[in-house]
Amino acid sequence: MTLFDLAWRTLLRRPVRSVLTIIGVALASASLCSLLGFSRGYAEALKRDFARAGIHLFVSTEGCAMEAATLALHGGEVPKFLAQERAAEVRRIPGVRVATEILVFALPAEGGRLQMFYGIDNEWRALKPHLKISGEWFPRADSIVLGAEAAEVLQRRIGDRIAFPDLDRDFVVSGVLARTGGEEDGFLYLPLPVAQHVFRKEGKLTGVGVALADIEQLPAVKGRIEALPDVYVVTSEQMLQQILKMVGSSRVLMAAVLAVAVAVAVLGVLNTMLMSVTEQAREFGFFRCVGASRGQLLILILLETTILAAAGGLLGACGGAVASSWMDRGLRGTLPFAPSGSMIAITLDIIFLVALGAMVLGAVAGLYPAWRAASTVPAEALRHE
Amino acid sequence: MSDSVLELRGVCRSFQRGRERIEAVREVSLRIARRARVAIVGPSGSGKTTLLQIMGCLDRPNAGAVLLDGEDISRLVESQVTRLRARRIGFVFQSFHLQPTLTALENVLLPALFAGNRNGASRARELLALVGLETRLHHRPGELSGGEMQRVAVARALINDPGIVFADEPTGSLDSTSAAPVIDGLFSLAQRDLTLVLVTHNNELARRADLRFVMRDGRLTQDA
Repeated sequence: MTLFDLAWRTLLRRPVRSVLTIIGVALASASLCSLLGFSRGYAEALKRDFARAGIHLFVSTEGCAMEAATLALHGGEVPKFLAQERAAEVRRIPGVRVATEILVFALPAEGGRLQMFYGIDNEWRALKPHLKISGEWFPRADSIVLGAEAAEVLQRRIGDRIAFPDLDRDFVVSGVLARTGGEEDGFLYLPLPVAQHVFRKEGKLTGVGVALADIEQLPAVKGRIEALPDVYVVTSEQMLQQILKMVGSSRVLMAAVLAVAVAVAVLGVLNTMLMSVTEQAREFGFFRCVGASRGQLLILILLETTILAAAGGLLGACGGAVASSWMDRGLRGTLPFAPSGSMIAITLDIIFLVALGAMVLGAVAGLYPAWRAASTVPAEALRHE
Repeated sequence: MSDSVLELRGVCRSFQRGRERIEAVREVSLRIARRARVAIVGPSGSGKTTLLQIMGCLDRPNAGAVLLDGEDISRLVESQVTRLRARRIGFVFQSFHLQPTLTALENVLLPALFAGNRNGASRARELLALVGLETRLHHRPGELSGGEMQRVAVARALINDPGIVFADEPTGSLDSTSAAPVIDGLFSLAQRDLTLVLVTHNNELARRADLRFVMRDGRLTQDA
């Protein structure tokens, strides 16, 4: 038998209390695990999205970096449009490899949703080689391509006709995109001229996405584009940083809530161990009688708290990892900007870090109870018999 | 080495309870020879248990000296006293103090754990067999009778082969039927190279001792 066995058996004596303490620690650990996973996963998913977009600069009319990012990645309706000739001017600037013209429009749909229409050109498709299509991109003038989710919601397959009450023409579904996990799954894609026609925005664009031949030329190209009239240029890095900054403020709030959860868990462990030490005062007196040193009682209590905290930490971290997809869905609706793919990346090092952190905090919470147990005076403890 | 295993010289112990000062042990001097079986009797509140705790290094006197094997234990620091309790002293208490989640065998092994004795299992089995519990090794206290629990406690007191065992009312929680095997176990084990000091109300137990003392109002007198 070892002190660990003794600590373990003592915890088994009060299973309900032990389990409740473990649950408290587990909840705090799961939250911590999710926040750490989110911190890492969100930035990674966002960078992945920007890399996939293949756009180094986004040109629109006056606006801000956040608006530009939303337009570039997820689409959105803007009150002001860019003259289409700007795209041709941008294309002529040395160092510009691709300049893709985009028109985004939203129509109200059932259930208060917005149906996002994306008018795109061939260059846009060339920038998105990761998009897999069943069927074809626009074989006819009335063709429409649906994102995976849009196809599900509208219950349309390739070859089906589709009509929109706010537009004066029907379309034929020529292709359905494979699911990406991003918001683009919900979009409907039209050839740019068709989109400009049906939305009565001939000669107008929401923006121009620019890919450079050499990223080193970015400052020079950006300066040249900014010299054009009525344009607002933002780099993908600016968009990325802007989004991360915005989400960073939400993260501060989440961290504050988490700090409270961790404090409650630590107090829970402290409370449990203090109750346990008070209840076991006579027992500790007896242990001292039969030769237990103060150090051994200290270790015994620290082992008990560490077992509780480690079990809670590990359970919470693993639970957080298991529930990450569920949390991902929950967070997606609350964030100002949700990238495609998983936003919560809980890796083994995070699980290990959280479990270790819980163990250390548990041990810290156990210090005072352990000190009290170690201070037991055998004669006094037995006098209360 | 002196033939007396334990010697008390003018030991006093008092407690403050509110405004009242209680003189639990007054000027007690005593010498206990090696392998002696000593019983201390007396009415409740006479100071027997306090005296036993002082002799067993669980408490320190306000005055006087306690010598164990000639060594003044009142001069030892806490860690030395702890080591001494772990290796040279055994205790049996009225309320058994068995750990409910440990088996009989594991309970016997507890003092060995604290003493750092990792090879106590065979000794624990042997001791449990000596008190007639060889078939109850893996039973938990909840599955044992009161008498069986106290026999486990007796075996536990002897696991580190102490030179002296202190028993505080070892049959106090038992009826006469259960008490008999406990008394037999205690005395048969004490026949070895062991000194036994008992505090008891049980006359039969006291009668079996070689030497009997009576404690009254904190003072100890030898029983004729």
